[in-house]
Amino acid sequence: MELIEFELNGRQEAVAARPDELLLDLLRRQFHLFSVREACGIGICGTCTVVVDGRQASACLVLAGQASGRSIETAEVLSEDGTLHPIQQAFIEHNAFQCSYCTPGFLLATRELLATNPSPSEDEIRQFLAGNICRCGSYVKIIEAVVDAAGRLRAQPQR
Amino acid sequence: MTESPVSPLGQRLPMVDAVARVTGAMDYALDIELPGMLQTRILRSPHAHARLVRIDASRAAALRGVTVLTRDDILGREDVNPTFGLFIRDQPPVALDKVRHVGDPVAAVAAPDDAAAEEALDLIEVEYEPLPAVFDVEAALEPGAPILHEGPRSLASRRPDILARQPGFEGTNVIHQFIQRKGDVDAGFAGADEVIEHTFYSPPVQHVPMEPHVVVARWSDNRLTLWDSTQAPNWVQIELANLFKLSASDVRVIVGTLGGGYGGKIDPSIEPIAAWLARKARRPVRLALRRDEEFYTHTKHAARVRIRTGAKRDGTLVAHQATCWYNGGAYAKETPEKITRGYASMGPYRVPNVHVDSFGVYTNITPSAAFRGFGIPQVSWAHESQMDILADALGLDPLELRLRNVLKVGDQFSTGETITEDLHYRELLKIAAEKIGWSEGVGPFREGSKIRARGIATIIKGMSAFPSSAVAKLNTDGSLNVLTGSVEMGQGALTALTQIAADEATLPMSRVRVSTPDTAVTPWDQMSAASRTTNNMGKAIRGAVVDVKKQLLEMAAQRLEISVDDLDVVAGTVQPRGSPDKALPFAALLGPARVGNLLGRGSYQAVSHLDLDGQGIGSPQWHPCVCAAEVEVDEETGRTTILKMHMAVYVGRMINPLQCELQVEGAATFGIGQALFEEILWDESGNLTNPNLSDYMVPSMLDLPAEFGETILETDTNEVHGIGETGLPAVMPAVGNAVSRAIGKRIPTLPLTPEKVLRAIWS
Repeated sequence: MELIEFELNGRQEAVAARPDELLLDLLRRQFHLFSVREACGIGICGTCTVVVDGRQASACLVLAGQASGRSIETAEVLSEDGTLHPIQQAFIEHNAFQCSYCTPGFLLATRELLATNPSPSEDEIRQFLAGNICRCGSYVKIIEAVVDAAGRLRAQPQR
Repeated sequence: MTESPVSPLGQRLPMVDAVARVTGAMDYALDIELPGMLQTRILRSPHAHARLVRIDASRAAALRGVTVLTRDDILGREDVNPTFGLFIRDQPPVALDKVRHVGDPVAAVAAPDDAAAEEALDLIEVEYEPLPAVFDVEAALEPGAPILHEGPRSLASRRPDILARQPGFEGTNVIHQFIQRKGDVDAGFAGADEVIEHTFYSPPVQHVPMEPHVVVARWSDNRLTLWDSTQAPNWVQIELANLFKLSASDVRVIVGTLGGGYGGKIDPSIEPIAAWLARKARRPVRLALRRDEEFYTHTKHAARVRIRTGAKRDGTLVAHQATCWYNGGAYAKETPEKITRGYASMGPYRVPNVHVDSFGVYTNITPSAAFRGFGIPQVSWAHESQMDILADALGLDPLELRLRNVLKVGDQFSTGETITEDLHYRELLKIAAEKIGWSEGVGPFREGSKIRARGIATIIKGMSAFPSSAVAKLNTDGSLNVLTGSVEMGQGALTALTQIAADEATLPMSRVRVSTPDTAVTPWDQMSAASRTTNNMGKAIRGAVVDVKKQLLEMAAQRLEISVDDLDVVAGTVQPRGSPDKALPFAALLGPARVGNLLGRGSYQAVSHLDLDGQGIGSPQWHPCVCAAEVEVDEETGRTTILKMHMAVYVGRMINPLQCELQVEGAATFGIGQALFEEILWDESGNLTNPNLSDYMVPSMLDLPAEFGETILETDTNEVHGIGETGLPAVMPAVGNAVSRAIGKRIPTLPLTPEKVLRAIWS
């Protein structure tokens, strides 16, 4: 066991963990951040997406020790102040999910897309989100929601 | 006066639990944590077929905190049954005498964490005596083929055809046979101008729910509680009760939300292992499968379907003969039911003479289970490919051939039943065709190495008739709880059922809560599958709420001293007809009456029954769909791109158009994967070669056609069709027909990979 210190959803944390434990398991076991879900285990499907120092990463491929000194965000951060993020609101209104197991990953990927490209075309959305798998096949509604969320964020750029 | 709220029926409403879905707060079984809970790993067979000579788990069991399950815990005991299965009890929790597929569970351990469990697995010694194995149905049915299940069969089902036919299959690899005879098929073929016969093949595919199977088991006072990711909590309840010789009342199955099911979470699979370990360890146990283990647990049935079709020169179908071989894999599971879908092997057409034999066959691969579409995609791939071949043989437009033969009201289906509901096939065909530009021609249209063409397909899908029950509980404040065993797995059941309950109760959605399943509390629902929940449970809920309303009316009649016949239930009140000023809100009626809750009961069971000739009522409802697609095939790479796709579905009346669209779009996405690339592969020893999401790809956003649309046709009817599966079976043949049109060659085997397309072009 090692003491691992990192920033998690905006708060400093220090936790004893085996450095070879997966970040995915650490976030679930220690912090009960259940938006982080293993689905493929090999970094293919985007379901366990977290944000490491501002860039999305698959938590199933990150070791706990690698989080040391970094900033980690999970989908829980989006509504931490008690209000839903505009991306979340857009996903709800378009019902851009079915079983929603994959939804946290889509939300974080969408946030990164819209931070770098505030007005993505449909093709750009498809390209950027191709690394997130929704087995239920809610893609039509997800694209609608991302376009809608982009509009909302352009109207209130502080988030 | 109280304003009547707008009925939520037919409204485009997001899911009732949408906020939890976007905040990571859903109640998946994986998130259940109990004090002292152990983690489980399974030791799986490396052999496709082998006798279990010796298993020694003593070194693993000696580790601190480790509990091991092997056959030694199961065999020779009076207080348990060794096997489970919905129709034939042929599957043990872990291997008893032999293993029957690569990945078959041999032993399992529970330990404080995953790492400790893995370590313990390594210490279990197993000696196998490999046996010859069979992977496809032809080999399994050959004389002298290795037999998977040698002994007498333990039947769980008392279905007449099971009792009649099973004794003949003991000692063979035939799981079961469905027979359908209608008219005189020989005379039909004799009178045909054109007779064609072809064979088509669908491979096994995996459900790939993003949430792999997960269950948490806990025992207390010889009673079992499971938190399970199952679509069929009541079936898990009775199976586990049978396994441990308990009363059903002592097995409690609790289900929150599923991260996808698609049929793969109906048959019990891992529950017996978790329950056994929890009992032995005297601790709660969690068993969460990893992705590769899903591929060793359940698949869609591979199937070979041979069809002989006879038609008149004008395209009129006169005879249909089919043999379907469904590959059931190592255990029977739902195969005895699935093979009955041979009844749809002629498609949604009028055919007077029908002769169908449909077999389920044991082989040494992962057991096949229910899969979205339940046996229809296997036959639709065949009958819709066949229809295009027939159209070409007769020189008819494929759309026109279908228009001339599709079922209409008054026609007889293969089951002998008369179609009584207008299924709108002709309308659906015309809509789908028009939306992708059929009138411009079907192709092929060549531009350089790219060839474009169009294809169309139509299917018929039934609904299971099993019973559903509900209890409505009107609270003293006038709000309503509805207890149901229906499972929310992403299909929006909770939302649709809340809409139905709110409509019947005349309450706003916010005053109605529909429960998730808890078999200790919620009444029986056979399963959330087979496109049955919205209709069957919807009707049960209506019945339960009507029962409550009847009691409210009687209370109000006493209070107001007028006849029940002069009272109405309006907007959460009971009021004398024409006197809304005297309306009594539900709460005002309940409070002074000192009754606590008002309880209402509702049950619904539709009728379906087929006799030993496959004649009778095949389904209480029939669900129609048409898919039309325009594809572009690159003849240099063999790659197929779906440019346009349009789905046309008739659903009776829509409860929630937004959720209906999601189901159709999801079904289409499933179909695109199965049309173009999804296929479980194995080597000559039966080892799966692609049990992961890198080598087994599922559709991403990039696989969605550039132009995609759907038409969901509804009419002013009280019929509510389920829509979870309807779209899927039409997609593969629509794409296949377009690809065949493009390259001028028929590929009879799914999926249409670039390699197969190139081989077909070069052949």
